[in-house]
Parts: sequence; C-alpha cells; structure tokens
Amino acid sequence: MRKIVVAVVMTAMIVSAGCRGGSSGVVSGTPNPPFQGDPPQDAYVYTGESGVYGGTIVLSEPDDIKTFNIIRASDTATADVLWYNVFRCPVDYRNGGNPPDFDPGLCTKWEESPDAKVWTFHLRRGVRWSDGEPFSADDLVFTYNVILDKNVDTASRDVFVEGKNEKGEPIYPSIEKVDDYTVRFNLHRPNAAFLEAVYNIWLIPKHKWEQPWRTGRFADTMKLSDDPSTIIGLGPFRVKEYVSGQRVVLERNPYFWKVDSRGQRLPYLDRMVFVIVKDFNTVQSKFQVGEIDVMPRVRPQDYPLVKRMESADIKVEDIGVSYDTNWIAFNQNTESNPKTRKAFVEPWKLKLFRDVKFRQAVSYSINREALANTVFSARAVPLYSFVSPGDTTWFSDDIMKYPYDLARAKQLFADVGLKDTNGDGFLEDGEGHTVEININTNSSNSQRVETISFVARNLQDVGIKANAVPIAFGVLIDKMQSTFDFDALMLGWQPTPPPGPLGNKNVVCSWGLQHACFASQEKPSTEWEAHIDQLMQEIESSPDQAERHRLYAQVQRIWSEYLPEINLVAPREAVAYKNKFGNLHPVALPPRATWNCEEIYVKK
Amino acid sequence: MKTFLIRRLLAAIPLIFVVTFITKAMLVASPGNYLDTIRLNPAISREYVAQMERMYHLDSDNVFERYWYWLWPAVQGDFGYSFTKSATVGSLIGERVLNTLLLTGSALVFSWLFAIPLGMLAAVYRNRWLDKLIGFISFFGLSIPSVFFSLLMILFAAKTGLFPAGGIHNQVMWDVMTPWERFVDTLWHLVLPMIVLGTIGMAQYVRQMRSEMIETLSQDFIRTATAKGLSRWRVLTRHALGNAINPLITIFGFSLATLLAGALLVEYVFGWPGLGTLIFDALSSKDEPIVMASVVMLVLMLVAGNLIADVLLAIIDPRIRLE
Repeated sequence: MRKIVVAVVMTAMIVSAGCRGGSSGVVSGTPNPPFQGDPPQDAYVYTGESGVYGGTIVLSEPDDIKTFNIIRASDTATADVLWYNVFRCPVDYRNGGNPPDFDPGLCTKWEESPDAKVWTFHLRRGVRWSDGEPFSADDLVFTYNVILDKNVDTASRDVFVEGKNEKGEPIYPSIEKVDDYTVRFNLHRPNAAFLEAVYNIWLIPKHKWEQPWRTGRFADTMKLSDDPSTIIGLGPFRVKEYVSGQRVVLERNPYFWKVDSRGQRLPYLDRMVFVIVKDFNTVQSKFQVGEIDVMPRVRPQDYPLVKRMESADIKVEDIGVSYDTNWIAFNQNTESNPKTRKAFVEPWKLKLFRDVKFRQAVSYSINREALANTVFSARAVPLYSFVSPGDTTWFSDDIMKYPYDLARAKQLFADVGLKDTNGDGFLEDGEGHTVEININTNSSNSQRVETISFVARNLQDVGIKANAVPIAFGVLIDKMQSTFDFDALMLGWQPTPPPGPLGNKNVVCSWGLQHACFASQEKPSTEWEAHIDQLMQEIESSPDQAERHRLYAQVQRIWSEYLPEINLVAPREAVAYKNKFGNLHPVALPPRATWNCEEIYVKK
Repeated sequence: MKTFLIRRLLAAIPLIFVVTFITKAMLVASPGNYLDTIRLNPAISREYVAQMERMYHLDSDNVFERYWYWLWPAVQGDFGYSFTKSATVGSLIGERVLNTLLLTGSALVFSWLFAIPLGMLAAVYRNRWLDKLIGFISFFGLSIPSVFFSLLMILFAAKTGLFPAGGIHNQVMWDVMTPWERFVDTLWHLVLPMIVLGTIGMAQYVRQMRSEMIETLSQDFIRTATAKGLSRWRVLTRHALGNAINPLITIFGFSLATLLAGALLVEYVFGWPGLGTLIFDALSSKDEPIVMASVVMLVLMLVAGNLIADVLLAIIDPRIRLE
C-alpha cells in the first residue's frame, strides 16, 4: 500500500512539474537586475523604437562555447555568445543597418587623416565596465598591446600586419594615448579599411588583466571554469552562469552605456540564455514546445518542415541570401613533394587544371539551378565569384557567369584537346590519359557530400570521369594546406562581420593559407594571381571608398574569369522566432538575430 | 575479500596504461588534429597555426613523445587543459561523469525492476499469451535502434508536452529554482532517456531471466518446496529467484560496457550532458586531453562495475568465495 502511495505522489509531482511550462519570464516592466550608477554624460542615444523592461530571450546554439577569453577565441559558438552581447569593440557594426555599416558605439566619433595613415578615436566619457570601474583610453591601449603580444595566441593580430621589416618580422600600426579619452593609431602606410581591423579589438579591462598579462599568464585568464563574475566587458549583458555542454546565461550589465530617446537605459531584456543543443531535430522539438524562442539558423533542407510551424505566435522568416559561399577548387600546385621529389599533381593533369578553358568548361557543365533545387531544397542562388550576392555592400554583378551550357562546355573541352578517342564515353587527352578526377569534401557534412555527388554526375554527362570521394575533415584540410595530393576539393567559407576585402585576403591572395587551388605561394604563379595580389594591396591603401569598391569589383571580375575556385551556390538564410519580441530584426550576417541585443524587448 | 579487492584494483593499473597508450597512438596516427577547423578560418595565418602546434605539442608525430607529454603530468594527477575549451579537463569531466552515472544508473534500476518480474511471469506462464506479450516487448527492445527510439520519444514529448524535449534540466528557470524544484525538474527530464536506455537493457535481461527461471522451476528442490505445502509466491521468491538470478549478475558486469556505449547515442540525441556527448565532441574535434581522461574514466567505471558484479555474486551465492 505504502508503495502505491509513493508512486502516486511521484507521478503527481512529475505531472505538476510538467504543467509549469513556459520558458521565458514574464515582462515585469522593471529591470531585474536593476541598473546601477548613472548613465555616462556622453551616453549613446538610441533613437529607434522604445521597449519595456523585463523578460528573457532563449536561443539555440549548436556548439558549446570554448572560452570566455575573447582575445583568444576563434570559433563561431564563442563569437555568437560573447561578441556584441558581452564584449564590444571601440566601434560597433550594425549588421542590420541599411546598408550595414560601422556605428560610433563606444566612440563619439573617429577621424581619419587625408592620407589614411593616422586614425584618431574619441571615446565616450563616463562609461563603466560591467564591474563598475571606469573605462578609459588606457583600456584600449592595453587591449591592443595584448593583441600584438606574440606570446598571446590570438587570430586578431594578423589583421593589423602592415608588412615585414628588414629582419622579416611583421610590423604593426603604433598606438598612442593622446588623453584619457583620445587614442591615435599611427600607420606605416595608408589603410582606408582600418576600421575593419579595429573591429577586431574586443576590449578587455586593464585593471583586471594587466597583472596576469605582464607575468605571462594571460592564457590562464577568463577560463570557462572561472567564476563568471570575473568576466568583465562593455556589452549590454554580462555572464551570469555557464554550465558545460548545456547553457550560457547572460544577465543585464547594470552599467551599460546606452539610453533610448525617452532616457531609459538599455538593454530592455533581463537575460539572454543560449541553450546548447547539437541535434537539429531536438532543437526543432524544443522550439515547438516553447523551450527555445529563437532558432538563429534554419538550414535549407529543414526550411520546408520548419515553415509549417508558422502560426500567430511563431514567425519563420526568410532573411535573404547568405554571405556564405561554397566552391570546388582544382589543384594547380606546380611544386613537388620535397621528400619524394615527386610532383604533387601528375604533369598531364596539372596542365589541364592550370588551363583556364578547362576550368571554365567545368563551370559551364555544372547545373547550378538544379543543384539549388535538389540539394538545397530550392533555397539557394547560383554563385559565380567569391563574394555572395547576399553581401549587398561589396557584391559586384559585373562578373563572368556560367549558366548551364553543355554545348559550350563540350566546345571548351575540345579546345583544350580533350576528345573521346577510344569510344568508352569518357574524354582523353592528347596522350591518351582518360580524364579521371576525384572530388573530395568532408564526409561529416552531408550537404557537401550530396553536392559533390551532384557535380560528379554533371561532369560525367560531359565525359569527365569524376568521382565523389568524401573524406575525413582533417585529411581534407591537410590535402589543401600541406600535402597537396588532391585533384579537386569542395568546401565553403563563412565570413564574419564586417564583410569586405580584409576578411578575404587569405582566400584570394596567392600567398594565403586558404588560397585553395595553390595555397601559400612564395610568389604568384600566374599573371592574374599577381594582378589580384596587387589589387588587394591597392584596396587596402586606397583612401577613397568608391575607389575601393571599384577595385574590389575588379578582383571579383578576374576571379570569375580565371576561376581559382569554381563557386557553386549561395544558400538562403532563415530564422525562426516567437512573435512576442520587439526590435528583433534578423539579418543574414552572423549572429543573425541578436546583433542589436540591447534593443530587443518583449512585447506586453 | 580485502586482498581480492586490492588485487583487482591493482590489475586495473596496467590496463589503464595499455588502453591509454593505444588511444594516444590512434589519435596520433589518424590524420589531422585539433587545429584543422582553425586552419580553415580565412582570418588565420600560417604563423598562428604554427604557434598553436608548438603550444599543444602537436608538431611531433612520435607516439612515445606525445604519450609522454600526456602521461607525465597525468600520473601526477594533472590531466591538463582541454584543447578546445579553456578549462581544466577535471572541471569539464567531473560533472559529466556524474550525469552519465545518473542516467546509466537509473536505466539499470529501471531495467532490473521490470526485467525480473517480467522474466518470472513469462517463465511461470510459459507459452501462454502473457509470455508471448512479454516476448514481444523484449524483442521490440532488442531490435529497435536506440537513436530511432530516442527520436520517437522526443517526438512524443514535443507533441504531447508531457515531458521536456531533451536536456537535463530547465535551462531557463534553473537558477531561480529551489533545491526541491531542481530535484523534481531533473527527475522529470530523466524519465524519457531512462526509458529508452532501460528498455534496451531490460529486453536482454528478460530473455535471460525467463530461461533461467524455466530451468530452475523444473528442478527437484522446487518440487520439494511445493510438496512441503509452501505457497506458490513463497516458492517463487524465496527458492527459485535466488537461484535463477545468479547468471544475470554475471551478465551485469559485462553489460556495463554495452550500457555505456548505448548511453553515448541516447545522450547525443537527448542532449544529455554526459560523458558520451563529451567524448563524441572531443573525438570529432580531436581534443586529445579530454579523450584521454574520458578513456581513463570509462576504464575505471568498467573495472568498478565488474568488481561490483563479483562482490554481489559472492553475497548472493554462498558457494562463491572471493580469494
């Protein structure tokens, strides 16, 4: 009898727990945690739609964050959670602006000398860190010096490199504190894109980290296992709790430095919660039962299913073409393996791969429309250069295009001397080699595997014996960057904000590690590569914005003509979210939904 | 008894060395390393990658050297830092072990709790409809893939809203809950993954229990006990059960490995933050310190499980002595 009673009580308990439901807190109208101190005398005034205080936004994040040390971070999950929300740069970037552009943020203004060699930043007065300590020019100088310290492992340092000195060491712009609220960067050569570089200085407090940095223990700071209250930033939120593999809870930074046009301090939301769920089916279920408010990234293949969830409370919004690109690159490496002295690519194959007509023929053979309709569930657009049409700021339409054209492809193959001489249905070169190509991609990404199978079938249709060969991710990267033993490989790039030439340098320049067709060249192996290198250099040093756009369009034109990467399609992005939020305006640029987290509020 | 325990625990030490060395060797031999994803980031230069390789001792392909870099601090109790996450391995793994123990432990209890009575019933009502029903359930449990079963359960949760769709607790409200609410919340999240993992184990035990019971029931001492006039209930629980359960405990030791392996998949689908998801992530991102420490933990859990099985056997069966 007693057992039965226990069982009944347990069931009742479980059911009552289940009925609690509802994920986000109610909108109280009063900020909890409350604001502290006074807003800075120079507060940033946000002039958009005002909201009310209270509430929580719950977002899904597919991967666990890796660190709180924003300087050392280099992965997307950490960026999604910490950038904008917890840490800020001297300038902001409004991903959802029209057009997306830099915003003063922590500066009242910045000045660029006419020759683009001296950049001066005027910081807001009275701004406080999330622990209440005052923020000043010293913090910016400190953060910059940490980034330049070669004992600190950070990816942010590379964007400041201005070339090499006589000893072959990289040189960087110098920094100078003019007064407590003014900082000046002195560059060795003009750089009109310097704001893009400054947008990598995620500010950290000097009063907290100078001591560890000076004693060489910077790598030990801001660990995931540290007390969250020691993670201090200038973003609208601060870390409240982190549970490995489960969630990151952010709460309002009580000292945040923005006010709205009514004089209310920002942010409106009390908390942001990132729930870490890997399996996309589980994410969908959690969204459906209301445990998650926002799915920041709905993959093309899931879109039809998710779209069906749309209701009065749920919106599934197409936010346009992604900045992401994908491509196939043929191996054009002319060098030999230093150990075996054997050429990385067999000479007859290399001759083909380096022939621009061959690559153009391949591009004409790919039915991009059909690829978009099948593998990408009709949620992708054809792509002919490394800048996606989604990047409305930098995309140029004046490029070579390769609509599906079998006759054209066959003609071009014939022009490079390929012909089916033995009647087996496949093309041979002049010496009788059957053109057989293995296309590699990483097996862990099913969309890429389907893409290379599709492309291989397209190539078989024109007589190229192409095989789709998925391999482990590590092997693939080794092939691309160090062993160079591949025919063709397929991968994709995911640019982070701000989009533009700076972020693509390593991809398009011949010396770049991500220049997939022939990575890390000592000096450019072709004239067009040399031309691109030179144009990229000019873009950096040209002070005129219109001129930079013109030059970048030229790079895209050359790229589309010579096809170092044969670009395939650019997917469309979608975000699913609850309708209850105000000022939630998702855009295609990461982090998609929360770029204006301080302005988002819960509607009453 | 004491010498037996000490001997068994000492025997685990060489086992750990062998297993960790093989693991390290496989990590070194398999292509690529933790820096692969970083190398594909367009913003990252060669110099940075080289710096990281030196920092993590990934620049050597010598297995012994790499093993030594791990082993020497490890024998002093320092499992180092995770490559991918800026936290000590200990801080990452501790809670995960507890979560996995909670899930596998409750799944075990679940499967035993149902397997023993069901197995007995099936044996007593042999070849009748109840036996066939139990047989159906157990074959269902044996044959359904755990991933599919997990997805079905999550679908059930999402459609009915009776249970949470994965996770270990309410991620949003947890920090404002009272300890009692936290306990209930965890229990509520535990139900579905426990059922999935428990059903798979239960199926196996039911079949075993049924055949053992049938054999025991046909033996002379059962007939004697019944002839003495004991009630059927007493014969079954006092006389038959103790004899029939013996081989099950032996299986228990072995089935721990299967259970932990099964937990990996179930944890992944349910987003249960246990050792399984941690190892899965660590393996796919080549986070060597985490993989190594997890392997050590798994070996320890297996050794402990087998030890418990042996001790239980000695307690239940007076013929067995641990010397």
